[in-house]
Amino acid sequence: MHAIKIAVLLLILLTVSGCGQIASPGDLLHAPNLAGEEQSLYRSVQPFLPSGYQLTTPDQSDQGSAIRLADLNGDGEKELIVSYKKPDIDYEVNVLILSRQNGSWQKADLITGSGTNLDYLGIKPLIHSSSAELLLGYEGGGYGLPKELYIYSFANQKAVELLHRSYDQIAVGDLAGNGLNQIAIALPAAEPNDSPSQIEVLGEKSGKLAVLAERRTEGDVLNLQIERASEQRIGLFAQVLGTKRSGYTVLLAWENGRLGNVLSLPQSIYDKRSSRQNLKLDEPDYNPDLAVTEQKWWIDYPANNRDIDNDGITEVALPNPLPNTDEPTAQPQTWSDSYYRWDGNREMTFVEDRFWQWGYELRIPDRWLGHYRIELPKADDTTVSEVLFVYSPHEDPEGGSSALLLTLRQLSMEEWNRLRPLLENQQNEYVVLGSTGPAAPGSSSEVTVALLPDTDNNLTGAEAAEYEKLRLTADEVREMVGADTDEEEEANHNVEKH
Amino acid sequence: MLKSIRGRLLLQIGLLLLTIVLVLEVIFAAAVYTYYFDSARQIVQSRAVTAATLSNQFMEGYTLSERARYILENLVPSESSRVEVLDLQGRTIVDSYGFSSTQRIRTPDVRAAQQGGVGSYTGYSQAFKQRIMAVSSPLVSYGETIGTLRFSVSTEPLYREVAKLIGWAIAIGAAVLLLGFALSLIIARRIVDPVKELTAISRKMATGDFTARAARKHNDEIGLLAESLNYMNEELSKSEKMKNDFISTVSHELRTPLTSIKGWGETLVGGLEDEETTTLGLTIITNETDRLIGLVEDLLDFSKYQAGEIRMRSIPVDLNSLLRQLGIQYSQADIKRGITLSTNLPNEPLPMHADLNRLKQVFVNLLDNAIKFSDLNGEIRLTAVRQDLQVFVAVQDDGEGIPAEDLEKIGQRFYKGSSKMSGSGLGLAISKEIVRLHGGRISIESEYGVGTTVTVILPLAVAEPLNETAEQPDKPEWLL
Repeated sequence: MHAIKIAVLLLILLTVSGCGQIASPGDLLHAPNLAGEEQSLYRSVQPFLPSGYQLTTPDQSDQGSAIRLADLNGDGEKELIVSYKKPDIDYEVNVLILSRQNGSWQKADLITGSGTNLDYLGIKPLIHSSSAELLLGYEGGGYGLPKELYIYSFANQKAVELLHRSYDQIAVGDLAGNGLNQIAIALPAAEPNDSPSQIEVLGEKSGKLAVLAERRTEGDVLNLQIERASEQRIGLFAQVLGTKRSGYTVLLAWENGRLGNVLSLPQSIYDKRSSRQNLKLDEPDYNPDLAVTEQKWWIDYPANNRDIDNDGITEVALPNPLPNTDEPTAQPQTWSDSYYRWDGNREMTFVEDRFWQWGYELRIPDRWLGHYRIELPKADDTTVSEVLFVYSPHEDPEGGSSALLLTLRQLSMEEWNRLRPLLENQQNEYVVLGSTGPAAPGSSSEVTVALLPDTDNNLTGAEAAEYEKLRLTADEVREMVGADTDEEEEANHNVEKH
Repeated sequence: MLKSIRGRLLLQIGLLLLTIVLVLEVIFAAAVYTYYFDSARQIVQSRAVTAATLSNQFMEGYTLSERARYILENLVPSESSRVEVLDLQGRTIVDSYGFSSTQRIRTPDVRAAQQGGVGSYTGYSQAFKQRIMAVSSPLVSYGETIGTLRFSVSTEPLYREVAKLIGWAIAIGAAVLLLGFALSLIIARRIVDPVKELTAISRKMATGDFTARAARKHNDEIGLLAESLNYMNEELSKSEKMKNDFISTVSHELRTPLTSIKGWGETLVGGLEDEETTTLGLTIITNETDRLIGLVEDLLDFSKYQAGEIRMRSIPVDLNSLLRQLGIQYSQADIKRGITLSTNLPNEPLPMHADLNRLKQVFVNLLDNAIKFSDLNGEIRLTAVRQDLQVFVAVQDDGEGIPAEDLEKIGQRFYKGSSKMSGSGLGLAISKEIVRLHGGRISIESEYGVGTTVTVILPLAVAEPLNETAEQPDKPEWLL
């Protein structure tokens, strides 16, 4: 009987002590510990943040962190650069520099700038390759108001202002190829209602920061970028939206100690752009006034210059009309963005053609070039529910045979749920390109799909053979729309890349 | 171990408990795991979705880095999750610690958010060297996904808590098992101990200790067993007493004629000059020897019945003629002490299959008994009544009768009742056996001091022509 009593007592004890320590799931949640260095940096910054202040990040940056580790003064020891502000105060942004002394972080200097936000924060070697300058761009708040760029050097635990400039856009990079960085800024317009139309390049000259080059234009400067432009060269990309024609793209590169616009494209060659062949360039244009010459990389709309093929080199976009079926009046002109890579000399190499309209995105397969046209359903809606890519061996769209190569279609989730079983029944291949959540509350979500044609067509002989060569597999479609098949595999491994 | 009740009981209860405990443990573990992880996911998800919804509603049109900055600046100080704003490639624009990274996060939750849904993910993070749970919600501008808001928490505390609870559950389960084990030991002891006691007592009884009594502690099966053991012991002691009585009776019965024979023998040895005395002595010796032979035959007979060696040689006979013969024989004999026999028999024959000699032995025994117990000049009535296919043959006397307490035991072997009459006490037992072998039975009714009626009930054969020739000649009388 004693044994029973003891056991019951033990049981009650166990239960009570166990229950007393049960924690609710909510109490147990905490962020995963930061990896190594980040953790310690975050910890060491905390004591220096006044209460009520929060870390803040720049809108643009060479690196978007609120806490940066960089050697500003070139002494081999890195400093901590921390940006923070009080969220409810709209006119003060702080940048704190901490230096490591006697094994702990000490406050070196605090730069308090006036502005609503930090627009730009860069740490770049501008004057000496061994040290770095701190570039701070403050946003004044309000559209069209200029932003203010301050450049500081850091020495003897003090930040010293080197330069102050108002700007509208900024790009930083090793444009001159001398191991230092240069700053390109689009100056704000003289009048508040005007647009910026002047580009300045600032950089080291005789040990000091100075204006290295200037370019004037008659139109708005857009999309200022300093990026790798060819395998060897770094260039300043910009788009100018002018008044005369729709606009043009410039690629300014350092040539023989001078800044020249590489994209000097003769009209005769520009006119052949729809062939999507490589384009021969003329001598670069060194004129400080970009408006002087007519040999330009004309663009009908500002398509993004970007590294389209992920090779580290930024390609130049050229809006290019696509072959349509009917007279141009009957349906909207369709465009593709043709991307060209500079060879570093006098030629632009055709990279790829990308159809990018109404929310559709498709890289047009190289083997289709010259063999297809686009058909749109006859509707004058603002959105186009369907785009057909059609094989057409003949110049005249009305004559001869044709066959469907691919259909891109946007439809609501409900419609898609009705269509899908049909497709699966007929064993028609399709690729779901993506879906968006409801654009507005109450509206349904949209699905974009690519439908592969079935094999029925009225082609014969050589045409049928050629058509077969042009047809895409579902995997190719996925590749052409940028759906990364590698990622799917990784998802199965459940391993986080970080 | 399995040979004892205790071992089996322990094993069976142990197995049962183990099964129950295991099943409950598994259910508990699954429930706890589900509760913790689902709740955590819901908490993180609600935070992520709320934050993303706020951002989507109030910051439409802003760039992703502006929104990231706003999210960073307006983080709740108590935010327990790691918050990340990712671009469409999965690169961290900024996390809640102010860092950005060009490393791409491509877990399924991020992928789901990039597709416009809310995704969650649980797994091991190489970056944090621990298991995490992450929920991603899309950041949308004008209906288009521009980035991902990702909330992640470490699941290590959840795993620890779940492991702790499961540990407790296992400990409690083990305690329950131990308790069950102890209880079953006690139960086994409570079952086995009385059985052991009974075993000891029954051994004692077997050695002839008739005073041994099993104590009936509970009114259960064991109690019943104890009671029947006691009963058995009582019966054993009674039969022991009966046996002793019998031996003394038989010795007495044997000694009386032997004494007489011895006496007469000595007398005759003394001289045979008186012829009359010699003749008387020899007659008495012969009679007493006959009596001894009869007694020994009775004993032999009885032992044969006991051994089941007696076979009935049944043939079709007429019971009525047997009864008539007996009636005549006994009324003529004017046998002893002036007792008369009156008969009342039916006129028709009573056909049956029987061993007539054995049946005769039965009735002779009954009639002799009746005579033995009747008063001087008394009357004995022999009647037979037929009912359907049974016949009731009654032998009735007005003798001393049998006390009620003896009535049940009459007919058991060696039982002689309280009467002082001589006899082995085997006659009625043998008669009962014979009647039983004929498919009938004997019933005895008696009132002490009034008289006794012994009724033999025998089955009759279906009416068939009676074979008179089958009737056997009279056998010598049976004397008891």
